[in-house]
Amino acid sequence: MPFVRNLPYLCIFLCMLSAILLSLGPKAKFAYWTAVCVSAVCAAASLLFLVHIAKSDTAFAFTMGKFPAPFGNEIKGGPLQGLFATVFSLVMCLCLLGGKTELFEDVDEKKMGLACVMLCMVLASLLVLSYTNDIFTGYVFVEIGTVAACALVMLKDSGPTLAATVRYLFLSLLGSGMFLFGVVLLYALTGHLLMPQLTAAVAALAGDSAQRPLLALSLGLMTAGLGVKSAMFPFHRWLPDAHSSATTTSSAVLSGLVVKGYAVLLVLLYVRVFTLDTVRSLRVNDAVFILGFAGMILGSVRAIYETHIKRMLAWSTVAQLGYVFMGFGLGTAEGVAAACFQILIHAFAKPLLFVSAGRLSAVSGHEKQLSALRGSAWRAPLAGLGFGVGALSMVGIPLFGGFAAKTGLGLGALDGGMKVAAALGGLALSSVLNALYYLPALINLWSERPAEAARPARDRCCTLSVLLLAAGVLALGLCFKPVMDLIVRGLELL
Amino acid sequence: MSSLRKWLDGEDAYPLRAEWTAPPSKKKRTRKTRADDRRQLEGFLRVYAVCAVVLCIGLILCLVLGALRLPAFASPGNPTDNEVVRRYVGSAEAETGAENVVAGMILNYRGFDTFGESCVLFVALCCVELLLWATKPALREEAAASRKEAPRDAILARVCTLAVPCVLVYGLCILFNGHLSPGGGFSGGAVLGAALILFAVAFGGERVRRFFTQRVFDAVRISGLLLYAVLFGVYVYLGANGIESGLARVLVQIIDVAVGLVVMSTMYGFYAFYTKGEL
Amino acid sequence: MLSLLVENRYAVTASVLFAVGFLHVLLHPDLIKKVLAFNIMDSSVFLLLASRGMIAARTAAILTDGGADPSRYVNPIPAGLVLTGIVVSVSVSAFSLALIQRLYGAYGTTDMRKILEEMKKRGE
Repeated sequence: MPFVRNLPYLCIFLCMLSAILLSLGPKAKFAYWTAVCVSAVCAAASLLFLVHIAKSDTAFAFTMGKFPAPFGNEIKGGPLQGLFATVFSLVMCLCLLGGKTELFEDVDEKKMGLACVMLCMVLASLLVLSYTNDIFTGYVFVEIGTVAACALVMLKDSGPTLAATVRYLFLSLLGSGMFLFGVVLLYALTGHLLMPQLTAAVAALAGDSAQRPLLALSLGLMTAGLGVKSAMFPFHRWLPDAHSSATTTSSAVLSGLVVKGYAVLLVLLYVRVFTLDTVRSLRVNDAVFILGFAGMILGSVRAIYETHIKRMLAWSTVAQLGYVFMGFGLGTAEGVAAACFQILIHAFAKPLLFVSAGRLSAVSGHEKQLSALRGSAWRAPLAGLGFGVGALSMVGIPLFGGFAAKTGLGLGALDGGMKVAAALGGLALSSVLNALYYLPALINLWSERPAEAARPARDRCCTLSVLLLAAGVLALGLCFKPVMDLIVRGLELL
Repeated sequence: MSSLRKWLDGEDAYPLRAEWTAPPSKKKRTRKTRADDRRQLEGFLRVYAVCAVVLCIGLILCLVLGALRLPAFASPGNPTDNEVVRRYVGSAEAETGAENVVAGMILNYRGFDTFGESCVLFVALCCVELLLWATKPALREEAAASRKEAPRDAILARVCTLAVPCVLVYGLCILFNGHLSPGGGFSGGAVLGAALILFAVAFGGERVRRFFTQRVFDAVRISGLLLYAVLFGVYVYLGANGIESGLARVLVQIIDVAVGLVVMSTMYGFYAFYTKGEL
Repeated sequence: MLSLLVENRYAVTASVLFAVGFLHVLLHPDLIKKVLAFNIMDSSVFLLLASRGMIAARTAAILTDGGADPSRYVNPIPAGLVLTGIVVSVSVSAFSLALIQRLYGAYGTTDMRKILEEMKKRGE
């Protein structure tokens, strides 16, 4: 086996090892830069792996130990997993850079090491959720991700963040419970936990009409469990509080990455374990479609009424996750591919928006109300531009990534039978709704150039982060075709 | 219409959000609006409760109907009684050196899951530390207000002088025999942690701190987890690349002890942070 | 019907307990009770899992003098999975209790509704 195929496993272990070492209580700066370096190294290694695996056009199973499936744990590397891992680690690194100033203000100096432990663990959990080939490993790392994500919410140690954390934690626990119940039912039916064997067993059971209700129940419970954690309607109420009250880095990581990890595990379940044909015949995807549709509309409507910039962005996350679930709900390969693209583009665009908003509010005396941020873009023009790129991408203006995602979803919906009208109408309506809150906010930020001459202190890390994230949004929008081809190929090889 | 034109000319805020220009003042809140708020909240809670009850009844129905269709209970032909189980039982001793098949399974065959599990414990302790570690005076005051030191009890102290050594020996026994008999790192570590907590309750945390300082605590916890991570990492690398080594047979015994150390210090760590906000 | 219920008693009990825990996590305003309810929910899953590993007239999977004959021992996998589940559940309970301790320090109550009211009063 070529050495490059060890990279996914090495990335995972690097994250976990550095998390363990960071808990020794190092100096705040050292801990922060270690976390940045770890995520950057992971991004580089994952990119190397992605290039290798895309060139060789295969997927392979990597045994975690001496014993192959079905006896020992396994991870599986393919183009899609490599793509997710690269984007997740890169965005993690950029989120850390973008929120640096605020992170050092909000987190107690002595507790910075612990904060970085959580960030490394979140990255480890995201990587494992993309690569795993074992459903129970998936459960364990979903838990790690949940606990670490809750800790990220409460990094800014104040009453409201604690209350938001407790609500987030309890809803997540409901989700874990349902997911575990689903896993146990599936294990009782098939006797396996490794995905290759599960696939075969599920295919055999799907033909048996006596077992189909149980299969549907198990899949439904797992979908609901992961859905609660990634804020699927109607379990989205925790998200706006949790994501808006946290510090900038946490908000960006939570909104851009953490909720996506669970969605990626759902892709593995739908495409690899159950296969889309079975999912369609069990009719679980119809429920997901309806819930995704509802979330998409409701999130946007609620965002229109928000006057707090971070809450507006958080409600917009609910809406954007609605697109992802709608893509899953279509139950076709094109729909899932478009949902994967949406996951990627949102992983760039939402952190970009949060980092820009954090910078804009930092130069305006830490005000978060939109009314107080009037004209703030003139004080930090680059952050204003970054917010513009993110907002236009969310609305779905051509050349930006969001447009490509929406096009992909629309094209994917065309084979959807009954769902065509709903999907296309929903996309159109939701784009208009997105425009209704993003464009006014953008105009608000850029209007009324303030008179004062004093320029705020520079923030080089933030500048770099905004530039790279915006470049990512534009690159995904411009190179839509090759990325989409890679995703489609990755889904075939999954 | 006029407001829309104003907006287009850039003179006014967006009409739907007139409040942008004038942020709502907080003082206007009268008693009546507060009562309205409460009524609204109560209405919402009532709807929420009804929805939750309906959801739960639906859930019970689905789960019970599902449970009735499960493969027969305790029969040897179940789908779960398959070649994986036969391999684990049949070759665990030869392949992992553990007579306790469960220990062999969780620490070797499915060792990555168990590593993740130890990391959940580790992350949870870090979270507790993040929350309760009183680094600032304000936090210390808040902690002092919400905690009350329990009075020292003479009977408890007398019993504990006898009980704690026994519990310790018992815990060590479980820990070191985990691969041969019921027990292992998790249960042994929990018993050892309980012994430490019992000691702290009976004689006060200061007595524990004489030998179990922050530094010792960190060393035990981190070295246990690091030992696990490094050993298992090397094992995975060798195993996946097809390099032969004798590591598989000794893995279970070493990792069991490492897990025991982690669990013991984590259990005591939880207790110490809950009661004092520091170690 | 009744014989089916009796035969699947563990699975049925687990289902009912799961839903009871679920309802209380959603509805009970007291945070400590929510932690208890969550533990009930998790235990019910462990009950289901443990019952699936049971095979009549076999013993626990610790190879004693009988040697490695698979037809003498019950399924060891659920035991391992339950262990993992318990550790996860302990960790999460510890975390949530610490969180509740801090919330009690900040707002003087463990009732979520009162905490929300108090937050509104303070204008947070």
